[in-house]
Amino acid sequence: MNEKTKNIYLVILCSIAFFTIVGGNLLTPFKEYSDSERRYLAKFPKPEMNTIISTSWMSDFEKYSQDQFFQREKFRIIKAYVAYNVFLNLDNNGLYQADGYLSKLEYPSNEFMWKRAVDLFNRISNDMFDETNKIYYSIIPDKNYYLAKNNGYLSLDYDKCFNFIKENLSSMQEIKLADLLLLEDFYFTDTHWKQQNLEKIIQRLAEHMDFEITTPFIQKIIDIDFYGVYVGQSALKFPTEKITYLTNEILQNSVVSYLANNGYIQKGIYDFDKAYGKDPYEFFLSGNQAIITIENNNCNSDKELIVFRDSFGSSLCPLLTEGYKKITIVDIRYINSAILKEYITNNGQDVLFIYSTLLINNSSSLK
Amino acid sequence: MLFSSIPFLFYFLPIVVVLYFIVPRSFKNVVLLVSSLFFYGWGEPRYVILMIISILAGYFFGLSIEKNLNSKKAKILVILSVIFNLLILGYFKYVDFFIDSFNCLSGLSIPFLKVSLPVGISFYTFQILSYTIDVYRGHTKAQQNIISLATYICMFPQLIAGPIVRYADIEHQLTDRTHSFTKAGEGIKRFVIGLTKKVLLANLLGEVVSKYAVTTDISMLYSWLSAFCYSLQIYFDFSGYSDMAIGLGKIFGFDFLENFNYPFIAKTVTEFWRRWHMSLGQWFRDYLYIPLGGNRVSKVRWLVNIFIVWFATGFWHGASYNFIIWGLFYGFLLIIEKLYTFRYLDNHPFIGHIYIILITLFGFVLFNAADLSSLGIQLSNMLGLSDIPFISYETIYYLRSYVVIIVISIAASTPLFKNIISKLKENKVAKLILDILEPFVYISLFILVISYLVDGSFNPFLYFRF
Repeated sequence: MNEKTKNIYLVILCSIAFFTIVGGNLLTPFKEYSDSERRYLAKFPKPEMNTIISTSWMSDFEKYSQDQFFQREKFRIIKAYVAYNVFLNLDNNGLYQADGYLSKLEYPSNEFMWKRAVDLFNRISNDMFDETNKIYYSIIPDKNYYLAKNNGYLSLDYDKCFNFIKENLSSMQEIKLADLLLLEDFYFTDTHWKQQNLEKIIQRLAEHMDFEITTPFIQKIIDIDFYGVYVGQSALKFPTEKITYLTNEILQNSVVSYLANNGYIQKGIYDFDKAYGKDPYEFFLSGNQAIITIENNNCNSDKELIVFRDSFGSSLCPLLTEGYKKITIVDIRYINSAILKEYITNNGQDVLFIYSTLLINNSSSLK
Repeated sequence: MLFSSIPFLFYFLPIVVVLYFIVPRSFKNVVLLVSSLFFYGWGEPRYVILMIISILAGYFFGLSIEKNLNSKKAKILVILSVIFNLLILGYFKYVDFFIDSFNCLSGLSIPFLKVSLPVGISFYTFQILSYTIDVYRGHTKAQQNIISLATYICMFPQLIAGPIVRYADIEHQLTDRTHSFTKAGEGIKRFVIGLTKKVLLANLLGEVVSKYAVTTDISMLYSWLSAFCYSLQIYFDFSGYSDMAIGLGKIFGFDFLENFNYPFIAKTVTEFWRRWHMSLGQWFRDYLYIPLGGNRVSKVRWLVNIFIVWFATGFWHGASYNFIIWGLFYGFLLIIEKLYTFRYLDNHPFIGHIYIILITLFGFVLFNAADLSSLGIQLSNMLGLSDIPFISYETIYYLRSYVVIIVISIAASTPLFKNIISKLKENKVAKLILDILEPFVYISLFILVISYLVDGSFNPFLYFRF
């Protein structure tokens, strides 16, 4: 092939490829939400003189052009495949695979965030409670605790984290969970633990907090194919999992109230609509909720419990129902702790702060 | 606007290419000029006015100098032109540095003006200077057509990061250039290679550097790894951008000067600087070193000339002491070479290569230092003078994770791939296969680049700050 022919051939083929993508990009319809990444995609920014002069419009347009790109999902798959299999990167955007599990690096340790979290817990404890309350805390090690280091991945300095928290929450009683959990207790592709594996956790909490759970749970499976949050982020194919939940007569008869704009609304412990929604894990206690109360009118004792928790608590808290007359579940990511007194009165309840290391190391969302 | 961004690649570029090739020849420069101003305005809307002022000043200085050529007035005008451009550069790039230095020396605390740096000002100012000086020297004629001159000064392919194109080199191309499939084909290949260097090598190497910058698990090896990755990153970042500029130039019918020629295979610092940012080196040689007398002066004066040139080279890169020290560091090494070691290093390639790699590593540590104190910390980390372990868990992790990128980068920083392809093409059948496959290779690389751009957010461009 002479130079001229070769270049004509090259220019034509490359131009076809280039303008196909350009055309595809222009014709791609606007997409509001990425199901795989579970996030809203950037919208076309409204041009205004001040945003153009400050160049923020240009930055927003760049985000929009990235998010709304032609065949974006397929390009993400190519990138993930090349990162793992050609460049042999150990992680792609922090996501890694090991022992059949998909997880996200939680690194480096952020002591500033640890301090922020414990300072907030102490402040809440001092402001809202007194000697009539028994106050406990539990730290849930995230999946990386059981997965990362064994497989050569970076992870938090967990021992240092646990020690730091212990030293700084000295007024609370620690309930250790790290030794109880195993890798199998977590979903393969999600951040969270499996509810059906939490009975041992409940027993450990019961021993320390002096309540009893005696009624056996029945396991039920939701009829959906569950992809954990990491699947979409990784852009890789993974087998689906099933969500199994625990129930019994006590749970079914409990009264569950969720704080809404105009007071409380009553719904079940498990939200079947959410199970078929964007994040099926929101099946447990309807996902992100500021305050939930579970009332167990058949309880033999008058004990009440206040739980400060993150999303791990969604699957755990229902299992505590039998042990208490009333459980108030608070997520201070969705309500400012400074106004909690408007909703919670101190009646000498037990108090449990239960948080995963993921949130402790990224505590900026705690208010 | 970055070349390696989706707005540039999939909105700006196709529109400009289509417009450029459908308008009549006489309007092609107008398309380039308007699109270049838009390109510049995308990142720096406020500074488009400054650029237009610089263009107008360059235009009128050029015409006036030519009109008064061979008279004292021409000399005055060229001096005024140099002062005008250096004042603009000095104000927008160096004023706060001067204030800071003055405050340090005088003990005063004059407030900073906090002038933001117009992108590419160092490049386009040097192009304007070269134009007016060349007109004064009679090396070129003044451009009568302001559109042509403005197109030369702010042509978007080389506006922001060079190569520093001298007016004399493209004077004829501005008015009479040819477009062909051969040029377009070469341009496309060059652009995709540059884009690949930038997105797949420089950006990924940069991830290691940025991880090191915030590590809490430092080690001696990590410091070396970071320095090594930074050296490769800046090479692929800058040479990738130059490749893209040259490639785009070819598509639009221009032949820009080469800017890099595998600098890491050099054996001496002298050779390194003949291969690294060649257009800047040539600019300083022609417009500073030779006017100072070059090497045709006394030995002492010659050494002083070298230091002046390297002081200026360092200072051109940024308003910070580390850049000045970096420039003087190279000036010092060049003098040592010229006086003592050049012949030895040139005759002992292995030692020469090791020497240049070490010098480059330390040079870029100096270049990358945020301040003198962080420079001291990284140097002592590298030299084992700090109380840090030799290796750490994080070092091993990133070494393992980026080893393939690093190996590819090392190979790509040498002519290895080029030589292999040339060798294969000596065989007719292999050449035919390669010719057939070539477009698919470039398309695949382009698709891979898009994949990284769509998914990634780490896309800095180091030479923007100059």
